[in-house]
Amino acid sequence: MMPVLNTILDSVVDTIAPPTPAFENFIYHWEKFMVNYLEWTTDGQFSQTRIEETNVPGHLEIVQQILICEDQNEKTATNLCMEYVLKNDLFNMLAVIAEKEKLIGIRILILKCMTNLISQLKNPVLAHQSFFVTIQRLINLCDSVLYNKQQQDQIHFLYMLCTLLNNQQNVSIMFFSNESIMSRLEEAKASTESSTFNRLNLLDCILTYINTKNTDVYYKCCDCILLLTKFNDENVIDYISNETKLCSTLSEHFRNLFCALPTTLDYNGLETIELNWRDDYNATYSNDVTKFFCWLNFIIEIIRDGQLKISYSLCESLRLLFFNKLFDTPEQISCSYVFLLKKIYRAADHTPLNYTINYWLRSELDNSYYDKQTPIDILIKLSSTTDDTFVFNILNFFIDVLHDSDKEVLDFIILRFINNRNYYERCTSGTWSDEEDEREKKLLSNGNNINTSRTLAPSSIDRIINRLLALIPQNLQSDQLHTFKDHITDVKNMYNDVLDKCTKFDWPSEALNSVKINDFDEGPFLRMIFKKISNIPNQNSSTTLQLKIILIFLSSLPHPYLHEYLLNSTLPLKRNVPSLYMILCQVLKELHKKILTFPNYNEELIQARKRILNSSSIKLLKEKNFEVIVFNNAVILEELCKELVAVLFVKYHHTNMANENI
Amino acid sequence: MSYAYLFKYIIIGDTGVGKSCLLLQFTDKRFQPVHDLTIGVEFGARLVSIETKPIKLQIWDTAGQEAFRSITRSYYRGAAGALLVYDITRRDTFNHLTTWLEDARQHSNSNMVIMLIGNKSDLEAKREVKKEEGEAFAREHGLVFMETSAKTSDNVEEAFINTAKEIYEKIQEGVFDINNEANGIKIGPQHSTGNSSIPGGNNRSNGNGCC
Repeated sequence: MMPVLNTILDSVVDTIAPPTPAFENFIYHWEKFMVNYLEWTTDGQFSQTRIEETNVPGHLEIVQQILICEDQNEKTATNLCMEYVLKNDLFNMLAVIAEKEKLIGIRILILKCMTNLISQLKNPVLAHQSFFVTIQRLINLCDSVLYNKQQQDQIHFLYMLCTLLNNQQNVSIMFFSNESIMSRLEEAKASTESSTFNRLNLLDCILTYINTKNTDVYYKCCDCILLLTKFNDENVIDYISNETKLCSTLSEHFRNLFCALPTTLDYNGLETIELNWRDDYNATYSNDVTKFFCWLNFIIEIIRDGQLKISYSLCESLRLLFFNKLFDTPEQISCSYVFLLKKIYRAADHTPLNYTINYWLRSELDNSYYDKQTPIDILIKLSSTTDDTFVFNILNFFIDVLHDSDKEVLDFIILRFINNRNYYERCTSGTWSDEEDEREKKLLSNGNNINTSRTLAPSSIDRIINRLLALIPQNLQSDQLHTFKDHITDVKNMYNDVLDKCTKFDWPSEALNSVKINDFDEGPFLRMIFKKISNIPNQNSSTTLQLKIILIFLSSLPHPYLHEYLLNSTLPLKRNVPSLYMILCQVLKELHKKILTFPNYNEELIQARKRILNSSSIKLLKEKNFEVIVFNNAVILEELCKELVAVLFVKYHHTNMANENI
Repeated sequence: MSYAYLFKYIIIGDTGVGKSCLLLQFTDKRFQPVHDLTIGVEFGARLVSIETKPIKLQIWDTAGQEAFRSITRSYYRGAAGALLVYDITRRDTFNHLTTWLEDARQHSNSNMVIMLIGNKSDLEAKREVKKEEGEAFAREHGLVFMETSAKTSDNVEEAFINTAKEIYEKIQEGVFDINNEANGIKIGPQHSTGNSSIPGGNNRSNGNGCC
């Protein structure tokens, strides 16, 4: 009532009396804190007073300091104060006061006090129910949606808690188990009248901050999520995967950001860009594109570094909530869609998400428009569009998918259509050496050695190579040497990489006739590729370059059926079975005719060669001059043939050496 | 409040064997027939007298459930005594003793005194584990053994105090290094003035206002 007099009296007492023992001091300040609080909220009334105008913070501050000091001097002092706190559930009283918030600002004061305690005590007994229940009750008060203004303090509390749990992971079970959260919260709920009592676990509470406009809060939120998903406790991992909203929230946020992207994108700028959520994000200023790519980067980090079980759950949830919804309506699918899909696919490389996307690509969709079609089928269909950029993005995506060499995807796209050998004409007997090969193949296939194969190293190799080289008429050759030797080193390296990946696929070593004879169907993908090759004289040279990349890759696969079907032009094929060799023949004939109409075509070819060697497909995409395109295409095809020969050569020698060794 | 030594105890054993009830009986001298499952750890303290010396027992009561095992493990460190409890009416709780003992030996200091306790001795009619079996197990593993009843308080006092006596004897024999707190023993404060470095000793002036 008379503050000034009290101050004087107190200081007089302090001067005369010796320092008060810590425990008594502690009790004194705790009681003062309570009395003060109760006086301001007489009869349980909500006070209009701001806490700064009262003595409540001063007393609580000292209570907190004594506890911290006692902990730091544990060797010399007793821990009487902390014992008293735990025994009498003082923290829980604080939690109740915070929940009721009858004095303006007391909630955040208590939150800060507990933050200081958990971050400064050497070994806070988090597992003790008096401590843990309080923390759990405070977590429930930290929902960002409810108390937006105090985001900074709230997330700081949550962040300190996560850091502490990270250092004492055995205690994390207290915050991530049904037993602990349910039972104690029921008690807490019963003891408060609050009807709006949330039941949030620590992680779900943190997840409410992902839409924050405050960069610091955003970083802390993300850091908390990363910490929690790395905890190494089986029960906690299970709880996080099954009971929290982690996976669905991250996936839905990803979808929301995806939907917010502009419909047209600057592909040139975005092609090579790799945004990092830590360095490139600013919650206040970032635009939609940055937000999306940063979030992608963040999700990939969780999938890569988080506990495997959590990664798998997150991937599965992304499949259901993001990928499966990509093709919900056909109007949505645009050029940028496919471009983004490719960016996501690349970002997911070497993570479990890669497997998820591959699985999704070959799974039938369950929606009204694309019922029973797979994303691969849809993309193949879409590639028939006349929009060059769209085609460019689709083919680019396919190139990435093929290079990823997922066994099931390769099988789904191509191999399942050709591994029955239905393209082969059995009635026509070939040359003597072909017959000999067929006999030998049967013998070799019994040996089951992946490295030995007569199919990959046929006796007629010289004829096959010569036919391919002869495809390019002499006056169409931009390089007079017309040799495939320049390509051998590159092809060899590529083939070794491919072999590394494919050895475990357990593919057959020889192409043999199957018992069943059916009509041949090359499948939608090869059909699309063949169609596009046929169309080379009339289309963009970026597409031709992409086709070249796809063909070279497919040829290099050590799969006997694919190998002989694509590369062995001496193989007798059934009627109406499309043959790559014949298609190339046709296309080159047509190109030849066109080129000869230009007076100085020799010079043009040499110029085109220079252009091609220094160009990427994205640069070629912009070329609109018909004449330039024709010459470009001719040079690309010339190189394709030489590279195919190099592939044949490398595969032959690799396999033949193995054949001779047995 | 003043004491000569402080001993840290830990109570371990399967869920539902009566660990929390033993503690409650010892610290508050009461029995609660329906007791919630312990989540994490709980805590109790009492002053006892061994050979006229006041000794404070600080007892950590742990959760028996498997999910909280990793928390329990972290409390072995720095414990001078452990009460390993089973329920004489439930054979499985006796069968699990070996696992508990392995855990205790692995995570505690080698001198920790372990008292084996067969609890619920008041439920003679439902007994599944004979007293002799408990004795044999204790003998085999070098433990002290007692049957108790947290309900009737039979032997509860003795269980805690005998463990303290054993620890006290070890101190007298010099087995325990009392200066190493990892052993779960602390020497009491010479005088009860606490620590002068604690802030607030002269801070009462902060508490002015409406008092």
